[in-house]
Amino acid sequence: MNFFLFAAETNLLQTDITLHHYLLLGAILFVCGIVCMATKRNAIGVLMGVELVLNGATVNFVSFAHFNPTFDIEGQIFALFVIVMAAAEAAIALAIVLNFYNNHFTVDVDAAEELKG
Amino acid sequence: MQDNLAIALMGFPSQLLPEIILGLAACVLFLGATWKVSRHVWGTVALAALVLAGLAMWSVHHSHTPIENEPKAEFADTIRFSAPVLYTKFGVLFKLIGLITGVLLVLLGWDEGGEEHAGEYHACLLLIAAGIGLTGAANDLITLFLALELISIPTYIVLYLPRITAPAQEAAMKYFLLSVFSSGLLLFGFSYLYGVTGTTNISGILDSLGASQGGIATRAVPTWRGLVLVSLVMIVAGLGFRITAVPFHFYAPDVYQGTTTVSAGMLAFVPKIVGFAALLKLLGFVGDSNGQAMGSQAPILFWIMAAVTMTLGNILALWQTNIKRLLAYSSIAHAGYMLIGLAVAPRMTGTSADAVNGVEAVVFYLAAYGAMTLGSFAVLHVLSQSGKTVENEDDLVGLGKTHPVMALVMVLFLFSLIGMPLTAGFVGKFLLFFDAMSVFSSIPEGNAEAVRQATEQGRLYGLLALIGAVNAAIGAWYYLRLASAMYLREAIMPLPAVKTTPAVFAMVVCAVLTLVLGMFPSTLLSPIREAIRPTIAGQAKIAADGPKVAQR
Amino acid sequence: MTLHAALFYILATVTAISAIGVAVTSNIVRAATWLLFALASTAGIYFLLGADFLGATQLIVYVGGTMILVVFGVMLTASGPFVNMKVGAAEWAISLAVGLLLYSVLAIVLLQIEPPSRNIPPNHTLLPSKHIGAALLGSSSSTPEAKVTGLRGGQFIPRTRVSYLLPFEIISVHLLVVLIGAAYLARAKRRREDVA
Repeated sequence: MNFFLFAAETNLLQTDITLHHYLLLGAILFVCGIVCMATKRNAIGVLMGVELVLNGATVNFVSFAHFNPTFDIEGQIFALFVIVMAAAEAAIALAIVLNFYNNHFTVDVDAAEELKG
Repeated sequence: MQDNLAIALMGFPSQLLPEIILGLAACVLFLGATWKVSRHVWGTVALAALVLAGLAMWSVHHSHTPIENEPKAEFADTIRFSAPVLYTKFGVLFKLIGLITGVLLVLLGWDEGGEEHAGEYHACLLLIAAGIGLTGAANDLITLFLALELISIPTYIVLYLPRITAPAQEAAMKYFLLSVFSSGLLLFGFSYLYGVTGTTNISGILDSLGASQGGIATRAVPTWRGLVLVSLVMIVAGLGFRITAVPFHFYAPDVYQGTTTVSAGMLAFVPKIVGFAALLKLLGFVGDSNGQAMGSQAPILFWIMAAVTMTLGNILALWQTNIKRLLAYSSIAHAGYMLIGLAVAPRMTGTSADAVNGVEAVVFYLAAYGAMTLGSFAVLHVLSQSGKTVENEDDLVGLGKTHPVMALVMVLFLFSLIGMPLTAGFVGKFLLFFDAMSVFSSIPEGNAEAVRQATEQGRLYGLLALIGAVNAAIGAWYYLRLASAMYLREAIMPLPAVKTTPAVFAMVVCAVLTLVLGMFPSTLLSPIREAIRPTIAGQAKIAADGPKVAQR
Repeated sequence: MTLHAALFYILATVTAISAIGVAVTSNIVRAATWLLFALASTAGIYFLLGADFLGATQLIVYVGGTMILVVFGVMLTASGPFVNMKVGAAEWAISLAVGLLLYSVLAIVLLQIEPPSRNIPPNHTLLPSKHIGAALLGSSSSTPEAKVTGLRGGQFIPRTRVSYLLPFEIISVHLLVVLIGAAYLARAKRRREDVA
C-alpha cells in the first residue's frame, strides 16, 4: 500500500521520466533475479537469475550516469566491464554444467546429494 | 605540478610490477603447459615467478613513496581521487601476504592432481596471489570488483582440476553458483554506492560520505540515507559470502569436504582475506575514518553477525567427524571472531596510540589464521600423500605414536586454533577480546547522558567479549578431541610413513609463522598499525624517535 | 506524453514482464527465451539513456554471445524430465512474499531520493563512444576534473585523467583464464577409480 501512496505522491506516472523510473526498473530486474535463483532447481536457471541481477546493476549504473552528467564515464565503463564479466562467468558456467551433466545426467542442484551432514 | 602528475600517473603500472610479473608468468604457464607435461618444471617456474615478484616488490618499495608519506598534500589528494590503484602501506601489507600465500599454495599444490594439469594449476595459483595484492591496492570499485573476480575465477578451476570426482564436481558447482550470486549482490550494492556518491573512486566515495567526519554525510541530504544503507547491506552480504559469515556460510562444509585438502585450505583463507580487505577499504576502516562511513548501523550489523557466526560455527563443529568439515565450521567460527574487531573498531577512536585498535587486531588475526589453518590442512595433505586419504577423525588415531613429529606439528596448529599462549592464535584472540572489553573500561567524561550511553555500549561489547570467550571454550573442546585422538588412542591401522615432498616445507613454514607471530607479535603489529592508522602511528613514532625523524 | 516517455514505458514494460517471466516459468527453455527478451529490451533502455556504445555492446556481447552460451547449456542438458522444474506451492508463496517485500523496501528507499536538481536537457546523451575508448587507454581529456556531485553537494575534488587501461588488462587476463579453464573443464573426464 505504501508503495502506491508514494507513487501517487511523487506523481510517478504523470511527470517526465526521471531517475526514479529507471531505478525502479533496475530494482525489478534485481528482485526477479533473486526470486529466480531462489526457486530454480536447475543450475542454468540459477545462472539466468544472476544475469538478471547483473542487468539490474547495469541499468542502475547507466541511469545514475545519465542523470549525473559530470561523471558519466565511470558508470558506462563499469557497465561495460560487467557485461564482459557476465560473458566470462557464463562460459565457465557452461563448462562446469556440461561436465557435471556428463557425470550425473542431471543439472538439478538438489539431486547432488553426496555432500550432506 | 603538471609534470609531476604525468610522472605519477605513468607510475601506476610500475607499482603493480609484482602483479604484472605474476600475470605474465601465469600466461607462460598456460602456454607452456601445452608442450611440456611436468609438475616439477612448472612448479619451479611458479616459485621462481613468486620470488621474482617478491624482488620486484622490494625494488618498488625503494622507488615509490606510499601515498601516506607524500609530502605535498594537494598532490597526494589528486592522486588519491583519480588513481585506480594506490600505493599504500595497506596495499604493501596485503601484497606481501598474497605473495607468501602464493608460495605456500604452490608448495602445497605441487603434487596435486594429474601431472598433465600441473601447468594450469600453478598458473591459477599465481593469479590468485596476484589477485590478493591487487585487492589490497585497488582504489576504484571497478578495480576492486575485477580483483575479487581475479581470485574467484581461477578458484573455480582450481576446485575442478586436481580431482574430477562426483563430490569434487558437486563442490565446484555449489561454490560457483553461490560465488556468482554473491558477486551479483556486491555489484548491485556498488551501483547504488556509485549513484549516491557520483564516483567509483573509493577515496572519492569515502570523502563524499564524509568518512573522516564520522561517516554518512547524509545529514545534509537525509533522503539519500536509505540508499546508502541498502548498499551497505548488499555489500556486507556479498562479501559475507567470501568471509563465511553466518547467513552466507552454509556452502563451506559441503565444498571443503568435496574438494581436495589443498583447495579446502585455500578456500578457508584466500576468500576470507580478500573479503576482509574489501570490507576494510569500502567501509572506511583504513586511515583516519572509523568504519562508519556508510552509517552508524554498521557496527550493530557486525555485532550481530559476529555473535551469531562464532556461536553457530562452534556449535555445529562439535558434531563433525570429518576433519575437513570440522575445519570448515572452525573457519566459520574464526570469521565470527574477526567480525568482533570490525564491530569494536568504531568505538575505539578515542583510545591512545598504544592501544591496538580493532581493525589492527582483525588484520593480525587474519595473518595468524592463515598460518594456522593452511598449516593444519597442510598436515592432512602431507599425511594423505603416502596413499591413504586422511579424511575422518579416526584416521588420525594413534598418530602420536606412529608419526610423532607430524602429530606435534598438528597439535601446534590445533593449540593455535584454540588460542593457547605462545601461539599466533592466542595473540589474535587476546587482542580482539581485549578490544571488546576495553570499550567498557574507557568511558569518557562528560555529561550524564553521554556517560550513560557509553556505559550501555560498554556492556554490549563486554557481552560480545563474553560470547567470544564462551565460544573459545566450546572450540577448545573439539580441537582437543582431535588432539586426544592422536595421543590417547591406539592406532589400529597405522598410516604409512610420510614422504618428504614440497608440501612438507609449506607445513614447516606455517608452523614457524604460527610460533613467531605468537612469540613476537610486534614484528607484524607495527607494520599493521602503520598501514591502518598512518597518522597515529606517525605521531607515536615522532614521540619515540624525537623530532629528527619527523622532518625527514 | 513525450516520445521519450512513451518509449520508456514500452521498453520498461517489456523488460519487466520478461524478467518476471524468467523468474516464474517452470520450463527452462521458456526461461531462456524470456531472458533473451529481457536482455534485448534492456539494450533498448541503454539507447534511451543515450549510452549508444553500451547498448550496442549489450546486443552484440550479451544477447549475441552470452545468451547463445546459455541456450547451448539448456540444449545440451535439458533432456526429457529435466526440462520442467516444478516448484511446490509453499515455496512459491515464500519466494513471492520475500520478493515483494524486497521490492517494496527498494521502492520506498528509491522513491525517497530526490533526483539531482540539475536539469537534464531532453536530448542529453552520455559521452560518445570514442571517449570511452580513449578513457580505456587513459588518453581521454574527457575524464573530467570534476565535481563529486554526491552527498556533499558538489564539493570540488581535483581529479586528473582516469585511466582504465589497468582494469582493461585485468579483464583480458580473466578472459584468458576462462578460455583455458573452460576448455579443460569441458574435456575433463572423471577418472574411473575415483568413482565412488
